[in-house]
Amino acid sequence: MNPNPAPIRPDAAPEPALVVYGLSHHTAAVDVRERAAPLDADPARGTARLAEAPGVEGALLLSTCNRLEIWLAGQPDAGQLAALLPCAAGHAIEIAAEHFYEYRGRAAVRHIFRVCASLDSRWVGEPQILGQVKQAYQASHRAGLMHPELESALQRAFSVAKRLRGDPELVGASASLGHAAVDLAGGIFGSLRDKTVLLLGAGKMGQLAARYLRRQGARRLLIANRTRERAQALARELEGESLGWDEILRRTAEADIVLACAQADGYVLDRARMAAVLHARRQRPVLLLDLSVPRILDPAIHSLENAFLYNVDDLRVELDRHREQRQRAAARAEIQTEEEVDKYLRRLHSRDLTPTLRALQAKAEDLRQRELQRLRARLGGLTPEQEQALDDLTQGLMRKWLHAPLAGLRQAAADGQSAGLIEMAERLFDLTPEATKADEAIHDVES
Amino acid sequence: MSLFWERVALSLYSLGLIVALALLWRRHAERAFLISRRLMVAGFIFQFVSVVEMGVAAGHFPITQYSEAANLLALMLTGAFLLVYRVYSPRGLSLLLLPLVFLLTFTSIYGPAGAAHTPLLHAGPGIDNVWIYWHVTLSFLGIVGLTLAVACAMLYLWAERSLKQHPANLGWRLPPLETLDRLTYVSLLSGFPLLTIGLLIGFYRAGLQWGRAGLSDPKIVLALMTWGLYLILLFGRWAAHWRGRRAAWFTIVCFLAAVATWMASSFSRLHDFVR
Repeated sequence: MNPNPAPIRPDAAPEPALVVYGLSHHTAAVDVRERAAPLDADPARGTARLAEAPGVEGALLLSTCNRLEIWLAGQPDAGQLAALLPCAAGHAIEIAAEHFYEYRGRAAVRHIFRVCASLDSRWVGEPQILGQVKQAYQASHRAGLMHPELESALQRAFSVAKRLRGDPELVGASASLGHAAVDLAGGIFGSLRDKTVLLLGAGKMGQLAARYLRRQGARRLLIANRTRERAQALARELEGESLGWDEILRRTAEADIVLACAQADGYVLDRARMAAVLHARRQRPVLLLDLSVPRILDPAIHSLENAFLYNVDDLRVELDRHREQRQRAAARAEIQTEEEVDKYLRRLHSRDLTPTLRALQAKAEDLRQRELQRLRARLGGLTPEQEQALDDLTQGLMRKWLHAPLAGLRQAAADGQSAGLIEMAERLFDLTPEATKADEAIHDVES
Repeated sequence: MSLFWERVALSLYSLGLIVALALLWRRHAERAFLISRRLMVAGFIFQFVSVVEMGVAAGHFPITQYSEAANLLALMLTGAFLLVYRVYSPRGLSLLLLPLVFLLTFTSIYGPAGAAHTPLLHAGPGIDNVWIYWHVTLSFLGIVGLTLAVACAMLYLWAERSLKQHPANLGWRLPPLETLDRLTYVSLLSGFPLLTIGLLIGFYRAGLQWGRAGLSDPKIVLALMTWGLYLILLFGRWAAHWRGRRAAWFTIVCFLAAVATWMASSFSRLHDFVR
């Protein structure tokens, strides 16, 4: 699915001053994303560097395994944008421009909504992204970079994401890999309670599956990754044990389930080595899931007794079942997101209009009170009934007269065409602050 | 002797078998397991009544005729299954055991020696029949352990084949491989000492009655062979860590030897049921 198709309804209205700039798994392969990754995993440091950049009013730095984006308030030009990412990352980013995307106004709001709702994620519905955005939001707040325009869009996006997460099909689908693994493990072991899982590769896919297996009760988790630090970070989070890539062969015999989601040259585990592993395990069965492309576990392992090896194609039936659910849920969520973006923008426009409407009503009321005062002075003492009749008459006149312009302005705001009208209304009804002050001066002289 | 209660048990087993097969045909596996299990419970109660009735009618432990022995073995098998089910709840096991229980009960009623009533054992002077009762009871319990093990082993082979060939589409779930393997081992371990003691008593009793001549009897030779295979199987599992497919096939071989021993009664001159 195209991550950012054209808006459903082209909008003539001036758009919110928001810009999204960056790269993600849609536009850049993992090696490209790795070259762009910030020096440090802590979002606060990158955000702090961003705060020092000149001309940044409001910004948020979102850095995950699958994306590196800056969400900005204001209207920076392309040159400024391109300079901001290296600044946030803390190093020069030498990546072809084609990997970057830029969204402005409505498209930026839509992108923010989709990212928060996990519709832009590699695994649609995965629950981590919202937490990552919230972390980035807090970092931005601490760095004094949270602009009201950006904050308002984010708050709305959080609330929409929360509502969409209520769809069990969307959330359930995110665990499809882990679910397939648990399903197969059920056929071999029954329960995961006393089982050890060896995770080869601590990438996003592996993380998701490992979290799911852990939640399902896997007793021990061994995590091997080429970058030991990433394995250690995941091991800390899931109370597992991190391994170096060179320790895999030595420790495989401990694992009842081997989950491979990594890149490697050739097979990490071949048939002969697996036979030795099974011997060391006294032939206790092993479930091996090779989700890597290209595969890193020798397919011949499956012919060994007590070794059950499946790759992504073997899990097709299970994954397809979830994919259908996910697609259905994602389609629903996309429609809802579009509606929410429209609703948000309409609200934004009506909020712009509110001061004008209030000023118009206040001016009319002020005029009415002044005219009433003048009339009372001319007519002398009025009975309470006469006072009431005068009041009713003037109020009725005002309401009827104001009805058409107020309704017209509100409708224009709802249609996203309020900006030009606001200016026009202010000029027509003389609502500028200077005019108001002049009115007050005249009133003072008259009284 | 009235076979009324045994016939009731047989009717319940038959009904269970037919309904379970029909449900399985229509892919209602869960209901098939449930119904076969419930009808086995009901059948077990009536079969128990019939065994007691047979013993009372014969005036001794009812194992001297084929009909009695088959009836008792079917009862023991059902009882053992119900016991195992309470602990492990292995789905599908009832479907493998029910035909066997049905067959034993059926041949007990309509089998070759069903009509004979001579209350006689080949006892020599001064030899207490109690030895025979212990020999048969313990050997039967040993065979029940082996039968449970073979049913689990067959389920294991079925489940393993499904997992190797169609990982994500088992249709209906068989018990997990590990559970089946453990259950096979536990059944074998429980059956072996009982069978060993039963056979030792049998050898002692045969020695008393027939002397060395008894050792050449086909039934006794086959029983010894079965015991030897059983021992090799347990040793292989314990020392060489035989598991899974290999252990399952060996269990089936052991069971076939036990079936041959059971059938050997029909051509054994010394060790036969009373006709």
